[in-house]
Amino acid sequence: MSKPGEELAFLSLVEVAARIRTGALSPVVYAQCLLDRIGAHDGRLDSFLRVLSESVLVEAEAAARAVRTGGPLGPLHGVPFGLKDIIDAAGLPTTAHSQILAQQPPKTADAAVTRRLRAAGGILLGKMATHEFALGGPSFDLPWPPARNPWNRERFPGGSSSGSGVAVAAGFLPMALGTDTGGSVRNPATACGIVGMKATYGRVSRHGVTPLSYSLDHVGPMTRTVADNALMLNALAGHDPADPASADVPVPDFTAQLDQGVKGLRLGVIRHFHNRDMIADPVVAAAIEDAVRVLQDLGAGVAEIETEPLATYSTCNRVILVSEAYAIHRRWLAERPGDYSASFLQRVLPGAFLTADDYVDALRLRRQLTAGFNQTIRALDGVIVASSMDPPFVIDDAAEIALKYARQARAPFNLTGNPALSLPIGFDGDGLPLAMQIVGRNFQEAMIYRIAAAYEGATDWHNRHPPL
Amino acid sequence: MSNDNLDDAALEQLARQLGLGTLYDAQPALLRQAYDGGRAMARRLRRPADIADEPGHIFQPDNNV
Repeated sequence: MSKPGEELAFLSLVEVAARIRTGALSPVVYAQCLLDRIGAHDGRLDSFLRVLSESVLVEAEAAARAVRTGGPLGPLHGVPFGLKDIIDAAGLPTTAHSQILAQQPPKTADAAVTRRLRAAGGILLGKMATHEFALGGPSFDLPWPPARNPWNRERFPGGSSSGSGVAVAAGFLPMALGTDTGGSVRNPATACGIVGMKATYGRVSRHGVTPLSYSLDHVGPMTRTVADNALMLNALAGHDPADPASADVPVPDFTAQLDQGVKGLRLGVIRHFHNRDMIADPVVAAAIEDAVRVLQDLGAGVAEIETEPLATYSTCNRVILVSEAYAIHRRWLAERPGDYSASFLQRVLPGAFLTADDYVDALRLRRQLTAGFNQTIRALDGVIVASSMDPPFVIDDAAEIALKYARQARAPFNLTGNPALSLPIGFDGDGLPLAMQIVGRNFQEAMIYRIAAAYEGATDWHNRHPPL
Repeated sequence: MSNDNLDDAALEQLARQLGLGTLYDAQPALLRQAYDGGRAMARRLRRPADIADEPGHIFQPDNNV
């Protein structure tokens, strides 16, 4: 039997939005339900840096009035959302979970993605924990503690969009935004058992988002179901002249293909990432094979494909990422090094000792890898790839973090820019979530959602929630 | 780096040139770890052999893809 409020807290975003629009659910009642749940449980999970408990109710009341008076209702009308605290919201500071920015004045404008979610009717409920500047972590030497995995608070919840992943999985929010430079939307989605999408580079504006690595940064939606994620991307996607990387391409309805199934689709699976280049935990490998069989049983054709070794992508991603991150942080590293966490320093400082030719050669390799990958998948509708190679590890074991943090296959798609989604595919023997990625051709996010929705519809992983 | 095996004195000089003197004074081992890690990363990088292989033009998504 579910606890009071639990059923409401775990309604899908699609269902919440529909009930609010029809007047079946008051946005005030819903927001209060989430606030109560956050108040009861987030003291043990630390997913929020700031809860906007007053303004969310004021805005929810305004949303309720709009429903009553027949005002214009956006697709996310009256639904609360959270922002990873490297994303700007007018009137609030953006701390990046760092002492460096802890005393910054409030921002005077929303980030483009914040503005878009508000324009769709969303209500900002809070700013979410992250790894410091989306790079260090999990860290225990910062002004705020790290977020913890709701399935087992002794385990890592993934990062760097930790708070966003935790809050969505825990039923504190139906949707949140993360950012993804080497996998940081998909990592917490994987570890927390939710859905996280890194859309094609250029699909979602980064304007107003604290940069980590200009050429690798993406902003992405995090939700509990595939349909929720597609609905959220509908609100987020679109050209923004203020973002120099924004793509001026048509934006489809990402929910349009959700019920079309996978019969007749051509899928690839890259096994060598997890069974040759980097040996995954057997429980992860077995879950991926089970997921492949589910898709085959649904009528998809699945063929194994080969691409470059995982390490070739990962090293290229890392050289670019730490070079750009170091350039961004160089002045603070010189003037305020003591204000960074140990973890952030360890990860960013190698960038001081990479040279111009290292960086340029990585960019040259990036183009080769991108062209090669897109050539390999040109006739495919989607590609199945491992996400994390291990179930979520212990959060405060430095040796395990050092060993396992980099054991992932997400970074290649920051490098190539291809859209990639993390989707739950089961649980290990300790009840910890497992996931796979579905990767697509550029700007084919709707097809990824179609494949993911078919898988999700044939399984019930998304209906399981962490016992708080 | 032309020399991937800097001794401690040379590393300290380089760190100060980079503006990282405060950090070096406080945590010289961290700078050594960062230097060794950065150079190891650079050695692992596969480098295109043909000088005609250009970088991707990263701020133009239509080219990037």
